[in-house]
Amino acid sequence: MKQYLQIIKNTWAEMMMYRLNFVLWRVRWVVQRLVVYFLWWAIFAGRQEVFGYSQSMILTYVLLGNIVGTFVLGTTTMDIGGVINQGNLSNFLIRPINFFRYYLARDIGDKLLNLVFAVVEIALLVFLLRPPVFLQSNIWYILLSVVAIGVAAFLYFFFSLLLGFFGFWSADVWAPRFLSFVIMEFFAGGLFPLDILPQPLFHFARSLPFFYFIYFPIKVYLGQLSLTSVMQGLVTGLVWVGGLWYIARLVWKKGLRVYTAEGK
Amino acid sequence: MRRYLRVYAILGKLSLETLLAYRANFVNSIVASLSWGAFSFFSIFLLVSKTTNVYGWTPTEIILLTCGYSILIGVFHTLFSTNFERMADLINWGQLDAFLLRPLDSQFSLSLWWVNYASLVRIMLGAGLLWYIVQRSALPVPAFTLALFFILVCVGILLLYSIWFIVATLLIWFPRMSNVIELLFNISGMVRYPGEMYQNALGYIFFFFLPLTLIITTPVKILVRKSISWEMILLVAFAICFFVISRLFWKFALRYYTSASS
Repeated sequence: MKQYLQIIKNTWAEMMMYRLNFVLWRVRWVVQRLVVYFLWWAIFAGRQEVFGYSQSMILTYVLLGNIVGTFVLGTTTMDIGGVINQGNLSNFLIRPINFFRYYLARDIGDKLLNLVFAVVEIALLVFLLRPPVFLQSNIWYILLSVVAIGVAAFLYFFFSLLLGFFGFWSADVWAPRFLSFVIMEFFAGGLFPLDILPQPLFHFARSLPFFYFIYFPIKVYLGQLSLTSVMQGLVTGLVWVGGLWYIARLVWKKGLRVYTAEGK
Repeated sequence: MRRYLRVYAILGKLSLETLLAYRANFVNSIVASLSWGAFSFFSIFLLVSKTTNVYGWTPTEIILLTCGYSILIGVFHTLFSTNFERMADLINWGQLDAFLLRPLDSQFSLSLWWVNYASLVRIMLGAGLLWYIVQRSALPVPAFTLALFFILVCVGILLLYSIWFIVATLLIWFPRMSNVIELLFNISGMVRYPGEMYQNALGYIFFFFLPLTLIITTPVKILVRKSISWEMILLVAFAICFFVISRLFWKFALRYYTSASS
């Protein structure tokens, strides 16, 4: 356990080494979210309700989506493809360290740091833009949304890990990652709530793990789901976590068999 | 000029040969680009489906704006963005030396070394949809308007390139600041929406983003026949000014290049 705490600390130290780069990363994230925010602001100009959402609900969705997205989608596992292709994986294999836990610890470090910054950024944006936001008063919905965010973080971790394992079979890991990111961003509900999609597409989105990344935790926070739906969603999310964990382990074992330690 | 065109033709051929050597990579990149375009269009279709007007823009005009953006960003990614992406590494590892030693303009060779053919699909997607919408909505577009639209798209690309190059030049002083390129990708994404959207939301801060907001809205306004003479003049003026600044700034920055890692 001690060694993994040290990995978390090392991740922070690594990120803080190039502070300007980290700040730019955060600015990039804020710009991305601000564009979505302004877009919704423009769509709501002169309207009380669009797609069944009030302005405060949708703006809360967008702003909260920033915090949830930065925590859930913050990861260092995108390096894995390169680590495999350059032969650096050998360094992990000869150390008494679990590869999955190593990256999980790095991700925890990354997520916590990003979360702190995201909260400060959103507080600043709320102060400057003074949007009409919805504050949930039911403590149960808040707690359940925190649990949903935790499930989403694990889900994304295993999903991203699997994408990195492409590196065992292909030198090109960028295109599959980019493609999956495009699909994931759309079906995770980062740009808009998924229930504004046409019904068949919404039902399709529900069958994907991405559904639980951003959309589901925020809907729980907004109190727009019944307790039964929340519980069903959490259980389904956990089943996905278990499934992806199992597949990731399987792919890892198969990948190690074809790993040739080419490179450095 | 002719020598540069000849060099660029050779560079284009080399990029194509590299591409054909890794065909799976090429196919993957095309599928990724195509999906990105398809999801962007679908998102816009969906968001404007319940509105009749967004700050003076009708849903059809906003979709035309997305088409224009797809063409513009497709050309930009084909010609420039791959080169910008590797700029941080080149400077950080001192490999910029090779560009400075060649008997070629360093800004030219650094900006145009690789051609990313996979992004051509974004141009095709944008142009195809633009043509379809113009036909379907019976929008009268005379040849002159169409020519002016494409000329202004080129001016917009020059402005976008100059802004990217000015910002990327900062890498000479801060070579580890690789996220600046990622930031530029996001800032470029801002231009796909009507400038009025930012004007109303940002107030005075909007003027900081004014050059960006003109990049594609101006050519599309020409297409949908909105009165834009001052915007056209501003776009051309900004493009020329920013391009000159990018050249001067690059030459100034090179004085501080230390070639540290070589």
